[in-house]
Amino acid sequence: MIQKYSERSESNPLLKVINLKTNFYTESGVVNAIAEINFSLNQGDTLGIVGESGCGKTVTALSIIRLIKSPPGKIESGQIILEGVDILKFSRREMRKVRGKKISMIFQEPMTSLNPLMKIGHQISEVICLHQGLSKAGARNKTIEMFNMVGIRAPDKCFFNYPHQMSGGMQQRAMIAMALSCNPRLMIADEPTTALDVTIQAQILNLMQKLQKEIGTSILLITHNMGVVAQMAKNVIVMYAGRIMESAPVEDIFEQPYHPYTIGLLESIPNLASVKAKRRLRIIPGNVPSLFNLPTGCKFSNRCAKSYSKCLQEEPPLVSVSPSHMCKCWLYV
Amino acid sequence: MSKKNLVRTESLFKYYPIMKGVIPKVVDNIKAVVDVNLILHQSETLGLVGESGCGKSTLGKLISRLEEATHGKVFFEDENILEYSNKQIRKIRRNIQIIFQDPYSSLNYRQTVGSIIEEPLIVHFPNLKRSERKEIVKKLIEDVGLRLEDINRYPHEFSGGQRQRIGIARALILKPKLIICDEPVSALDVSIQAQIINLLQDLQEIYNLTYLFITHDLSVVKHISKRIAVMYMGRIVEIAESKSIYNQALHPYTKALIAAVPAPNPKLKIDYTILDGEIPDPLSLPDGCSFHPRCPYAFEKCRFNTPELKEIEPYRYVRCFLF
Repeated sequence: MIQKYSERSESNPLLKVINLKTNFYTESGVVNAIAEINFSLNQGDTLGIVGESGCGKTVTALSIIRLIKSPPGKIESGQIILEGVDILKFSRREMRKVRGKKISMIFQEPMTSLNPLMKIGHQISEVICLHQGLSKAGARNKTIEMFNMVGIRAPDKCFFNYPHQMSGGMQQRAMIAMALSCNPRLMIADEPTTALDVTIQAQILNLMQKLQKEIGTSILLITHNMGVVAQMAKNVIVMYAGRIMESAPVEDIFEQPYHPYTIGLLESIPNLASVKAKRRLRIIPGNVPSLFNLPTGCKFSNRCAKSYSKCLQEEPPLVSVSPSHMCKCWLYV
Repeated sequence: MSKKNLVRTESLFKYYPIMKGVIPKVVDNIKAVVDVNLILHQSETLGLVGESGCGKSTLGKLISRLEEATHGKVFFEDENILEYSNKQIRKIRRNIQIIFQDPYSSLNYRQTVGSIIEEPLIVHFPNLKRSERKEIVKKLIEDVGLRLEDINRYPHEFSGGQRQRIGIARALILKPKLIICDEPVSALDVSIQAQIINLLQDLQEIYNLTYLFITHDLSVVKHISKRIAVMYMGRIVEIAESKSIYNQALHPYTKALIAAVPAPNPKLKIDYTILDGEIPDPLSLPDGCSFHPRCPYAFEKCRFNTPELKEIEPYRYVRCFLF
């Protein structure tokens, strides 16, 4: 039976990430993909991590679930506290018990994430058998139950389909079924709808919200789409060059963004609902910097219209600009 | 204001045959583009929007003759270019250019930026001297936001957005009348998308270009287009001015598409009662209106008959029995 998690506590978050730092050792040098970030997630909430290519959002997700390929990656320091226990200290064996059961993940392209040689029903049953010790028949029943839950039609027939026989939306539903099959406390969704058509995206977002209400799973949602974040997240973290530039409840991020990068990002999106036709979009000049060649001081300084001498010399700390709203910018220190 | 037609398609069809059997026989067809009648006005941007498999990219390729139509006509400046000989097609390519979606695979990684951009000049204007070509490239490079030093560099040294600028320069060098933009910003980061969108708009004014802007992104298409054509399963289902598409969409599919776009505003949540079901398999299209199984307004007639694309107001078309 699906069990609903009802306990929530602000002082006892489900996930607490402390000073997480992840590097990649490449032939061209060491890349600091995440530079000592801190955040937390309460039970039952959705935290959105937004940012553009190279900002570190996927590396953050992979670090939490310990799927960073090592070498060349290495989680250098920090703590990942899940239900009060630092899982960064876990052995590979202990971590295998966490993955799929306490923390599960859904990926961007379902076609490339699912095993093309295995029937979809078996892929999910496999997870259930592994973590819940059910018999093959028991796992099969649970799988069909999950398929019903995620809206896959004719689930007993679909059980025997191969991924390539399913549409993108159906594959993603199957991945969600797999991710939720063992009632994880935390589901990490890495760009779960980016590869899907917009009407299918709406169905999948609806499904994720519905399941979250029913099961109480917390969601760490990674996306570059501000619209998706506005729909789904309770709180938002904006990342840039491996750092958290701003974090706040979702309404505050959209109504009163503080960081020039966040403001720039929001202004550069064409808004379908806007009544006034904007002739030109406000842009952030320049390009996202290469992680091999970050500017000194604030990493956004070379593209920031508001930067001044201090920004080029020293990196600002992450400070509170209002209750539960943090910003990493010299303008507010 | 009179609008001159730059492009007009007439009953355009593209079928891809499915062959089966040891001695291959056509058993079925994928109807990628079905009976499309579209008009592009001089100097405007017409947005072409739809989800996967609707036929929008194929339609772009038919107009540029990168794919051959199964049936129909494409009039470019009042001449049917589908009847052109190979020699004539070469000439028309000066006037119809394309910008592709993937900035990584659409540039030859073995050629320098300068060489990529000047190649169309070598092909179409062989009498130009080398120094003359270089001058033309130099003038264009800065127009697209690149630097003179970039001419001798290779594509892999550039980011996605910069590569797209190279692709735009290549499309622009022959001073075409029409540029078909096939998802030109979909593969780019959000802040870079904005730069490229602004660039395309600026260039349109400087060079008096006409754009066919193909995309699945409704927000982008509304921003950049004057008019929008919506496609579903190979057919155009609605054409309207972009400023009215948001609040006054007529076709149930267009309404659902717009309702499904998540707004960057936490106070505007999506109404999920909108669209159910999957995009149908192109090999087993429903009878009648191809949208009827998913349509909340479908009635008996929709199941057996296909509605025509009707002009209900000047330049406002809809394909639906409700109208």
